[in-house]
Amino acid sequence: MDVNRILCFFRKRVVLSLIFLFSLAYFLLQFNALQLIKIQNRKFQDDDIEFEEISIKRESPLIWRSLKEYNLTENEICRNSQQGINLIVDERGFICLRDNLKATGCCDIQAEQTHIYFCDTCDANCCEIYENCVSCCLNPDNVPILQKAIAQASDRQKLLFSRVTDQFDLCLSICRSNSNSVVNEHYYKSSKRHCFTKTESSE
Amino acid sequence: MMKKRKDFVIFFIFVIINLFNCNTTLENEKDIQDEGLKCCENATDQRLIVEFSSSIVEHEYIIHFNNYYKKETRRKYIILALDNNSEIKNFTIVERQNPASDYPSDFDVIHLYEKTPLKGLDLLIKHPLIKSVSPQRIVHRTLKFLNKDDEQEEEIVANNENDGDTNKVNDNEDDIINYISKHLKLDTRTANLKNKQGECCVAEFQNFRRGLSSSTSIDTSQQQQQQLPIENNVNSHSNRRLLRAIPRQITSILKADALWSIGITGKGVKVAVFDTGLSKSHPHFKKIKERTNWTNEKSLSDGISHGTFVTGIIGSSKECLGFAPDADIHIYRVFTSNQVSYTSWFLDAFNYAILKKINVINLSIGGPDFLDRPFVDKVLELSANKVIMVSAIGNDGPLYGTLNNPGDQMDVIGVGGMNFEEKIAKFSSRGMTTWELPEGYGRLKPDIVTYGSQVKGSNLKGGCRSLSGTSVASPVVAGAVTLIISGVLKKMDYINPSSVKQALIEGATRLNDNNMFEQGHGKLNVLKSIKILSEYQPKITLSPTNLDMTDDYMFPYSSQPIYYTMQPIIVNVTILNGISVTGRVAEVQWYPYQNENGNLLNVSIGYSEILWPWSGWMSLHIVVNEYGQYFEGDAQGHVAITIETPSADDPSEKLNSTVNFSIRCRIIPKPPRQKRILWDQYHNLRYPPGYLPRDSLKVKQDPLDWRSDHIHTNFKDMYTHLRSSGYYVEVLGQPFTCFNASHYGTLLLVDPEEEFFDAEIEKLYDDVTNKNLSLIVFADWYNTTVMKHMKFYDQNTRQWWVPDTGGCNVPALNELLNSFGIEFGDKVLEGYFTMGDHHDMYYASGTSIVKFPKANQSVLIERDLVDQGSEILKLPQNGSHQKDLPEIDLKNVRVKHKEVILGMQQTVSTLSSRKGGRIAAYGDSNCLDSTHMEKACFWLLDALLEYSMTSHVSGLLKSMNRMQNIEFTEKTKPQRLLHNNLHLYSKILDSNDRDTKRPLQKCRKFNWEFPYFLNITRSFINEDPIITNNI
Repeated sequence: MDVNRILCFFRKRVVLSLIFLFSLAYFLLQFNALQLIKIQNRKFQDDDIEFEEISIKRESPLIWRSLKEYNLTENEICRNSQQGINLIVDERGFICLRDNLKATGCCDIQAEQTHIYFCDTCDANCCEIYENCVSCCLNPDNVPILQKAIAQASDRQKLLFSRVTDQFDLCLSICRSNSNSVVNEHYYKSSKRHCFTKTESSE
Repeated sequence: MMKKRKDFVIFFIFVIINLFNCNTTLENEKDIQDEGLKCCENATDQRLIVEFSSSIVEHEYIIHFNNYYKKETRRKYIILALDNNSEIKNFTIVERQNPASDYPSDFDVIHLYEKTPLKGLDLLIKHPLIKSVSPQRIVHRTLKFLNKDDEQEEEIVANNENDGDTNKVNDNEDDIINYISKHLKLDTRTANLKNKQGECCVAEFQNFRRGLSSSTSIDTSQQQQQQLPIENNVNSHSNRRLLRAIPRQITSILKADALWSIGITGKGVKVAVFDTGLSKSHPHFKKIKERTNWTNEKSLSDGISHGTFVTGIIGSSKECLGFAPDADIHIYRVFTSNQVSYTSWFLDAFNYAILKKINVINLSIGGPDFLDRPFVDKVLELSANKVIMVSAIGNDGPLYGTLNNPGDQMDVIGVGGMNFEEKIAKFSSRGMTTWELPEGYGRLKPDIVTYGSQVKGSNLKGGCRSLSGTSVASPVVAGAVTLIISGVLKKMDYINPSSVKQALIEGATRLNDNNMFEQGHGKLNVLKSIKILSEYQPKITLSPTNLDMTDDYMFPYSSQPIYYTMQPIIVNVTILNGISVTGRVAEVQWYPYQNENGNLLNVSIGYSEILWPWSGWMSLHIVVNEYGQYFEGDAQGHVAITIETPSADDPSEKLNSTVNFSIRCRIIPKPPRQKRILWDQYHNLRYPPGYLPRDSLKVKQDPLDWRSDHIHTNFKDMYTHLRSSGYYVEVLGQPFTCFNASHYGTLLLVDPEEEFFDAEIEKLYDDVTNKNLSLIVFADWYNTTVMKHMKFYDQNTRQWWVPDTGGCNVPALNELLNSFGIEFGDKVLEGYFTMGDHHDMYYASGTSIVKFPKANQSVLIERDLVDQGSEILKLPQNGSHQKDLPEIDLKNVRVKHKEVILGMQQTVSTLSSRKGGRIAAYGDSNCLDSTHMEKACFWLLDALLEYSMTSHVSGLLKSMNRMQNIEFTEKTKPQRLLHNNLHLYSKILDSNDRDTKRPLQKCRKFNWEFPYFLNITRSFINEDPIITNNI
């Protein structure tokens, strides 16, 4: 009798559904808890690794322009800015027309339109023309400005600056239009968008 | 949020996502594969050079049976065949000592010495069970291991040797593959015998073979049988190709494994992936050089698997293989896990890539905003620094005119997607570019296509998955480019964005069923392209290479012949300069072919003064001159363009290179004006530069109208329909003042967003009333309240966006039509209805006619429509998210009102009592526009054209005419939205003052090039000689 009653009791739909709901709830809780723990763990681990990875420490000291001697001879080989439509800057700070570029990569310093540390179109360390910016920036007098710009750089910029080897590299990089050159993402703040100084961030 | 690029909508995979569990499918392979790769890693300091030669072995022959028999059976057959003749006793069956000899085989090798030559052979051949007898060949091959130091010198030599040989066997793709696969085969066995390191590399390759085989249904024993003949007879490759037919890895389909086997693995090339990042310890990658993060999230890892997949296609070395496993991979995380990205993040990341001297960048990203100057300029800057940019062309197909930036830039390699049936995938965006409209014509894009559908690549934490999209096709090309460059490192000075693009284009295989705006130059062919690049000499080439209106590939040029008085057809040619980053067009000349009717063509050539970076453009305007008025047939000639570049050795010296562009036009006599339609392009505007809202408000995902409303973009289906109905459609890219109305039957004005010059309004009135030109208008919605309601905060540009017009510019349109007594209203209407018995129609956010002249012959048709505008206004104002754009609840009971949707009217001349042209006006353009089209109404266009061209009203329209019952009450017509910004990019409004118009734009005058006649009967530019016009 008792056994039957108990059996009947368990066969009632209400009871069955209660049992089911309870099990389900238990399962869900357990499962979710596990998942959550997993996700948290993963996040934690990942983040840990990432932070270590972004090392923006400079590996060797930056070589400033004033420390490097150029002998201005015929056989000198130069790195240059390579990208320009008409203008090229070589690593010595000479800016020239492409037509006056020598096979060595150096500007022909005899050419009339070749200039050194040329700041045309520049104003307050910002220039309209990229090559002007690079040439102007290479002036050894600008080292303090550059040092300040590096010190004040945003996180993303810091990474860039930590990987340049010398002043030429630095000037090539710092003069490019970057996240500080734009407003509303799609527009340049100013026509003088090539700067070798810290500018106000748009963010 | 907005569909601007800025969102750089990652081409996600919307097509199909399949998760493959590689652990099960690849289980068997995995171990072996790992082993192979590990071994090879050890061997990377050395390279394997394989040489081989083959010669016939005297007195040895291969007997090929009709079927598979056991060893003993075969022996009996041979003895039986030869024993009848007492002369032949001197033969032995060569024993084979391999595991396969236990199984039935279909061949034997015999040693047969005959006094009377060939007699025994003859007997054998006559035997019914013997299929063929062929001489035995011996293959000599030598393996050389080169140390790293020697390698550099040998590298190009090895390539050249390859090339030399492949030349011998023909340029045919199969031959190249056979040639290379021959090497592979040989490697396997010699290496097994001789060299342990060799064995490793072979293991890797064999492993692929096994992969291939296991995907076919051939069981192992049979397989061995099939492979055996190959071992002894290098001539038979057909069996092998069958097995190759269903490869399992994208890299083997594109034959990258052939390059790996000769030591080309991506080594020494820096490839960067700009995407969603990659986790540090992903098991698939050997050489992750650096991972950087440019987002505002503090993570380097991939949260959504897009970046992992893309990187996998480029450089995975396990499970699902990538193209360049030994390349230096640089990970740039520029998207957050929520797929957010900003132009400014890209700018900084790109600058870093330039500093790092990255060789190849993959951008599986894109968006419709090609006017994002900072971004576009930066991409050009990268190209100028010799960074090869490979980008997805977009997932907005099959609509035309849906290319995404930066893939659509001329300096970028834009990659479209195809499926494994060798057809362009539906999702792949189609050309042309729309930057040049309305005055010009779009560029040819994509540049190249490759597999982008159901491709297998790395999953988030390991394992593989299948994805589709041009996001997938782009890294296939980027990986292949990386691999190719690593094979020609000796030629690094010649590697630049244009030389690589030239090699890809020239190597590409054209698909049969797709036109140039779908497939570009065709399907990626890695082997051909590496061959071209290894022999590369800097040069100038053109894209497209020529114009041939008789070639279906050249759609849309092939879709309509040209005739006297036609608006010029325009060809936009991209100049690829593989010589130097800058160049200058020194000279252009037009050479019509005297004997090929070239004198009937007038050509005007425009070009970019400076070619930079590594590229430029040339535009050709072509018309038939009056001598061709009655001509029918083809006319040919070519344009020669001379480019001046600095010489590579001494930049101060100049080098001139001339390249020819051949032209072949199909000319017909001038059609009657009743067959000629003029399409107004000039008054169509699209996003970018402003917020021009979509035409159907029901569609939420795509808030912008950005496909430029051209007959070759989103109105292509309509164009194709009109052409098949026998009409000739021309495009007007200038104001109405610039065409001669007497040439045309109908001006088709669909969904104009632009304003109209006063002179245009006057001229059109005169054309219609006095010059018998008819006008068909398809308008769209305009309601200032709805427009204001649609404003939203755009997180990408961090500013509020308010539409600058409605679906079309109804206030301007009303001004144009005012003198005809026609006006559209400001309601936004929507609804389904039928016209006649079987024409189902959908009115997707249209306007209604609120004023129309009621003359005797006028036709007015009304239908019950819902006021969609007031429904939208009941919804909450938009937040800053696209998700919140108006959603219409169709479940609610909707009240419908009768609205006039179509009016037809015969005008009367102002000068005499004669009849003028006819006007038909319909309130919605969605049924002609393939964008979000629900129900096409080309039948209606046909009926309206019948009316406009011949004044015949179709019975169907006549039966629906309710003109007598319709009373127009005075209704407010829509006013322009106050403070809208249309003037900022309008060609008609003064950019400083939205209420004044500019002076009328002058009509373009063409300076036709002086013709230098050539006495040529065959085009020498095309590879195939052009057959003269006696067809």
